[in-house]
Amino acid sequence: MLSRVANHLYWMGRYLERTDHLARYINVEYFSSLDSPEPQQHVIALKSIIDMTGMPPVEDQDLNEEEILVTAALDDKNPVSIISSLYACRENARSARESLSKELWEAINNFYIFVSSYPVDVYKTRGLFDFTTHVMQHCANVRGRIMFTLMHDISWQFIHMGLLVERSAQIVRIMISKLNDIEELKKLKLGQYMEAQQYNILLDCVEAKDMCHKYYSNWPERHATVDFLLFNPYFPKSVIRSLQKLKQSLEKIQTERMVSQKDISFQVGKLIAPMEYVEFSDIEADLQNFLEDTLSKIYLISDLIAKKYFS
Amino acid sequence: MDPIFDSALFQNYATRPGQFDEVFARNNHIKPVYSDLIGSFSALSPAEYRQLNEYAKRSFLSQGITFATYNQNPRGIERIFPFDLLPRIIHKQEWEVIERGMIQRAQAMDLFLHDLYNDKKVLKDKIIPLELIHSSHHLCRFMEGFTPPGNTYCHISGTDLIRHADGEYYILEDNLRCPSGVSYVLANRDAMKKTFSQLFKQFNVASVMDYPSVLLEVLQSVCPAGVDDPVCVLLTPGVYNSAYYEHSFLAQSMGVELVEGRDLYVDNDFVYMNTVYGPEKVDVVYRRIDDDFMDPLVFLADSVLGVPGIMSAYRKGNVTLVNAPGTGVADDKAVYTYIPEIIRYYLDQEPLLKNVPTYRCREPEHLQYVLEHLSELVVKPVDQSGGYGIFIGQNASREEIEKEKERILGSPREYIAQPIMALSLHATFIEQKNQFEPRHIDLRTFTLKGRDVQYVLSGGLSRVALKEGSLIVNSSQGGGSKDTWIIND
Amino acid sequence: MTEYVIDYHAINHYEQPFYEAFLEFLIFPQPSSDQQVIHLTHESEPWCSTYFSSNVNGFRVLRCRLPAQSETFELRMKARVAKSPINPFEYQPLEIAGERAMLRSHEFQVEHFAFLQQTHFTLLPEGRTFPSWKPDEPVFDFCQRVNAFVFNCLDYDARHASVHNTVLDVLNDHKGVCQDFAHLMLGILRLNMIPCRYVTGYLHPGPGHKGSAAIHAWTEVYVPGNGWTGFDPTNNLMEDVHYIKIAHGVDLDECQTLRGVVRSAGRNSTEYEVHVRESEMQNLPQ
Repeated sequence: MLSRVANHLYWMGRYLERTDHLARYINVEYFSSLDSPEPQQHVIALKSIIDMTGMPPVEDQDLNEEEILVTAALDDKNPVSIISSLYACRENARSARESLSKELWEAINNFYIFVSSYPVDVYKTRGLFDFTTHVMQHCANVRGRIMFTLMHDISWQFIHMGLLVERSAQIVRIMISKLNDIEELKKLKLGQYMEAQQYNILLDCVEAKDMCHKYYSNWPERHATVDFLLFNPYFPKSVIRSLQKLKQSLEKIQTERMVSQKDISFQVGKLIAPMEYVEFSDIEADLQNFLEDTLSKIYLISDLIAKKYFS
Repeated sequence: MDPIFDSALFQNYATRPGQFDEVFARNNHIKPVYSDLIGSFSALSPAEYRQLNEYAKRSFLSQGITFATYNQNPRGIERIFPFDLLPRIIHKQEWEVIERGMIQRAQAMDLFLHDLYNDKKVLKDKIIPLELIHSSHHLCRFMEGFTPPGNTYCHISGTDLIRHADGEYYILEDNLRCPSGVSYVLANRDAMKKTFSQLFKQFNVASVMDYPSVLLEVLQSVCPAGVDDPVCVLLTPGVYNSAYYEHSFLAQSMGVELVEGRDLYVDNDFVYMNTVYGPEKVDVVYRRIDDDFMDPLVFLADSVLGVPGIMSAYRKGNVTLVNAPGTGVADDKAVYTYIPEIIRYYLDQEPLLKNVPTYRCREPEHLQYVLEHLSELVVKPVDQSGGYGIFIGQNASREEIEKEKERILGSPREYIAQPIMALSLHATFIEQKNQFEPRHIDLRTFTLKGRDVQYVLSGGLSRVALKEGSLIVNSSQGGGSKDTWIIND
Repeated sequence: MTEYVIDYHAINHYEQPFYEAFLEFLIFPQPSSDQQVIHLTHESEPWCSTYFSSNVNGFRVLRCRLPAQSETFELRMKARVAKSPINPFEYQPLEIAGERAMLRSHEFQVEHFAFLQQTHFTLLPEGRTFPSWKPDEPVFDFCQRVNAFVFNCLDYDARHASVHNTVLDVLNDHKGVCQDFAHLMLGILRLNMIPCRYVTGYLHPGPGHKGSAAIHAWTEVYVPGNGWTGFDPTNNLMEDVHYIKIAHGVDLDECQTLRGVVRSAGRNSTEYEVHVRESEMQNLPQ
């Protein structure tokens, strides 16, 4: 397969996953802050959306809710909006069109047509829930087509790796952002219940709440939430699971060639191995640092893949 | 009058006196070959028809069969190539003549090009004026003294035909460089089958779906000597090219890689593509970029679309380019006028299809006639395609005619003129009016030729000038298309 | 036999790193009956992947794919060439009518059309008079007359060197370098329908030779009875042992010694150094 096409497939996967996380984050953050008794929580939610999407930071007094929500979703001049991310996904798909099934391509294209023709007025007034929910559904649909309408051959591995890299990176970023919010809220002294609520929101942003409750049979708190999202061996979105799958994908691509010691799956293995032998108690004291470190490792892995296969 | 005119879709339909209507005879009777089809269509109410029409349009949009207006902007407007659901029908007997005519033409073209780049007998025997050939911008010096594999130059040719008021087919022009449009033929057929599945059961319509497999056969048949299992690729200028949909569609249906110039490189006069497992040798390149952009070492140095060094690899016989470089010299509109002579010269046969009578402005007597009869003529630059630079005398003002005279006199060799050919009319659905009206159409045929392979796509692309009275059918100038059915009863 | 040693050295500078550079050198003496290439070497710094190929007229070129990120690239070529003496006057000319009949025959013109047709480099300005071939004049004499005309028409001025200059450009101020002399000569001969071609090569500088510091350009004219015959309008001389041919073509465009495709945001520049010296005669393998 062409290096250029592999590159397009990988980024198609990354942008698809990014679009999904953006939509879910906006949806969950915004609606969970609406019924909060504490007005400051609404401000924190908006700032959190700014932070997560990667838009330039804004002072409290300059926050304009409508503007933030439109910019994050439908502003094609904002390179980190949902529409821009999806456009990049589709352009990458279009450049690798002949490697995709008709079903997958049409799913992506229809998704794009839905978003690009969504009326901004409707979105502003009553469409936020409808829009973000549809975006998430479309993402699930496209992911299903990736799963079931393609051969799981080498081109599929590149899409898959794109999904996994972006997913693990997004989850770590969401954790960094939410844990920050929680620290901010703690200062307001709203009590135990409000804090638990925030962990619920964090889990919701990753579609992990129900499973986490089921696993721990308890209200979520810091230990359970972090442990579940980073290290749970059964939950498919946990960071360690994603990275392990990523390593397996790399091994599959390599199978037909001599694997040298220093080859890419070795290097990726070296990066993730320490995480496989870490417990919550080891990182509790310096959680933010651990998350930042993990994020930079994920980006390093992405660079290694690009250097090896795309140049 | 047929009862058909009770139908809301057809009630206001009026044939035009003195013009050839494909569907209706002069007394508004349906021609026999169309009677069943029009019967089925007229049973639909305008609302039902509109619904089917919308469905077909949506299907094009969701498949991404859009063109031309791509830019790097998430909200860039994408237009579909307008598609008319009422197919154009050609009877098999009539079609077979066209088919034989196309094969004849393709054979003559290859012999002509080989002669032109080798023995030059056609020039020595003064069949074609020397200066005419040598002043063509498309003559390729790299092809001198070279014979491409299978002796084939024009593997893919697209020839445009029209039907004049006399009911006869005439050849309007040849496209021997990178003719496009075939993907629309297949997409149109696909949309028709989905929209009118019952109709297909009634009619014995010749299939077009074999095109990609024959194309692949052609590519493989002309691979370099000594290659058993050739690697074929399709070279595209990239996603922002207006025909990108077609490039990716063809690559996918043939199962070959769709490559861009930056995916390929030349070493030791062999061509390789960069894959995730390292370089892989490429044997046949179906290139959808023009000669000038192919090899920046030879042609335009600043081209980023091409592959430096590929022309030497081609001359060495290590890679085959499809179509061969330098074929443009034969589809030049000034050379077009000599094609009947070329067919007689090489094949010793009479041309099966007629040329439109053409005046060559380079010849003084012709020039004189053209200048005196501009209002009855269409003037075309000899080396432009896509309908650009065309002057139509019929509706021109006196000033415009004077300006045109100056333009022609400026460089007579650059122009040819033809009588205004009345393109035939075909009933076409007009969305704004909710009914069928006559519109002018032409037909682009697609011919494939390789080593021991000859093929003409059954039907081709019927293009419609959607603007009332317009004779320009090109998609870039507001044309649409129709499915074309070759029917055997 | 005269033997020469040629040293060619080119240095390319790149302002910014490129992500792709592919160069083609047309610098090798052409082996022919009166020009024997005894020894040929080339080397580059930094090392790069190279291969030999042919250009549009079948002349040997060296292609180099440069390693990414280089700031400079140098190529050196060394050649030993033995030249047999040529006497341009030693041939059996056809009678004058025969020459004319041959050059004017349709078949001959078809065969040689590429070298009969003006290019954008050689196109002459309208409304000026240039030497024209007289009915009673042998082709050879006419060519010498044109050679002298061009020599007198232009002043050699190295400051006016540009690969883009056409005949129309240089006739503005009548200053030019060897390529301009050659193009003007081609333009005049082609106007008279006499086939002629642009030649690029090395010149062993003799006393009074102009245009000898680097690569030289001259012309070859088809003289019935003798074939392609070299004239150097820059020096108003006939080609002799001092001229070491690399290649010919319709004009400069087909004879550029260095062509390249460099994908980079920055600019690049090239310097050349060429030395041609006579070496001591050695025993040549026959």
